[in-house]
Amino acid sequence: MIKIDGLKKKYKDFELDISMDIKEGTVTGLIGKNGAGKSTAIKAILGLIHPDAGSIKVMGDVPGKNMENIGAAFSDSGMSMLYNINDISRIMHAMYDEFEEDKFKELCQKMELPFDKLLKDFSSGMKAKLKVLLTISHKAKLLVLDEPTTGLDVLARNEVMDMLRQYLEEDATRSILISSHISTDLEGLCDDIYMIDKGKIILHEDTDVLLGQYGVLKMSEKEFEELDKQYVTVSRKDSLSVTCLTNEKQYYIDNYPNIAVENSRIDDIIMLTLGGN
Amino acid sequence: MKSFLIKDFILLKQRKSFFMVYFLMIVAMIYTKNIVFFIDFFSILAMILAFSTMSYDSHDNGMVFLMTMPNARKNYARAKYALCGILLLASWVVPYLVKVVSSIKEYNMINIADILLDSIIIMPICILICSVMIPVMLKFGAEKGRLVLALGFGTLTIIAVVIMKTEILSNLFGLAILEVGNLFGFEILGIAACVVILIGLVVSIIISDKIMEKREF
Repeated sequence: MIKIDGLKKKYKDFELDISMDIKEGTVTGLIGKNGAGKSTAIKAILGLIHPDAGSIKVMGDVPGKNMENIGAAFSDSGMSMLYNINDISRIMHAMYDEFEEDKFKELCQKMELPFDKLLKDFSSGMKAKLKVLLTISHKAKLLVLDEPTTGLDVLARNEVMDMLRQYLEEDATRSILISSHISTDLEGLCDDIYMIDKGKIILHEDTDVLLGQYGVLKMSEKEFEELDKQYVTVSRKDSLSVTCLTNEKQYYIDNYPNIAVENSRIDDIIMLTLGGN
Repeated sequence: MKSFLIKDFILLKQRKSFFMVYFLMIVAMIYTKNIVFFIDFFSILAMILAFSTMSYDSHDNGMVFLMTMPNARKNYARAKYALCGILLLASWVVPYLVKVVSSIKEYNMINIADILLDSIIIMPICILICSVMIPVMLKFGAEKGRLVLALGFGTLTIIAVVIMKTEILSNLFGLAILEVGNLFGFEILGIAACVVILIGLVVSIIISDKIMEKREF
């Protein structure tokens, strides 16, 4: 669905250098801290910026083509605030051949979005829901979502995630690329996750593996010195102990019964990967 | 392109203050004999309305989202030219129709033709304004574009004032126009000026297409 090969984009204080392969029918998460390069990668995929080097293919074509089949949403960009939902429906009907006007209005009603208010009078939760609704209302094969739940409360985030799950259930060939720095959103939705830091991909793994096989080890410095480190990906020394990330927690459960082995969440993986050695 | 035009017309219907001014001017126009001033005023208003849509598109980083629409890079700029053309045409046709209908007893074909001749000069001026404003606003953004244009027009004004104040230069300029006019006829000169402006419009569209192709959002 999306193939990125050696994409490079240089700015004054930052350089993006990534390769990614997103298959049809998958949900891929892109996670990283602010300024890591998530939005730059997404803009390159959507043809909003021109790479300095490398190649990108989106549904077999160069970025910017095939936009009829792509739904995009950004946390900091959307339709003009002077429109209301009826206006937006008319615009989308003109823009997209496959726009499902009835379904869009039905979903807006279900999400309790007011039809007669201008967007400038919407709450941030309403705006975020509308942005995602727009992406799923024209039979897009690919959704590219840049931090769609930023600034939302937990209820609103769940509603947005549910919309996306329903969208995927309708057609198994649909794909989503979603960037976020809220890991819990991605854990429940994504098949695989790319972690990006300072413009580079530092980790790519299936979500099941991250949650099932990865683990956090906690031990003393002496235990760390004696530890078999072949499955330790990252370690971090505190004043009293050493914390490690492993991609084979079962090995340490079986062979090091004295060491504390915890299940890892994506947040733990991010904290250790970005903050450790 | 049609989809972007629809987007702009829906946006324009929010500009209620403009339409209020327009309506009041139309009412005032009914009671005056000279409608040329009103046509000129409406033409400039039409341009301002058209350019305001570019400002609104840029608000809140809106261009990023707009450029994810199908065929956006190709159609966005061309839709702005089309919008200018449609609004300009409306700024001509509506006053004429209103005036003809309201003064049906007084007006005959000769008067309408006279008004047409008097007011026609605003059309190429507006086309020239479009041809300059749209690519500048696309290149520099709506806000910076206005600043660039203000500086540009300011510089041209200073140069024009210097030429006018310098008698030799202004006399030479006047003589040159007279010579060319006498040689080819002033009508031909006028038509040639219009052709140049239309060629300028085509060049402007090509430049705008290139700007949109290369621009990053």
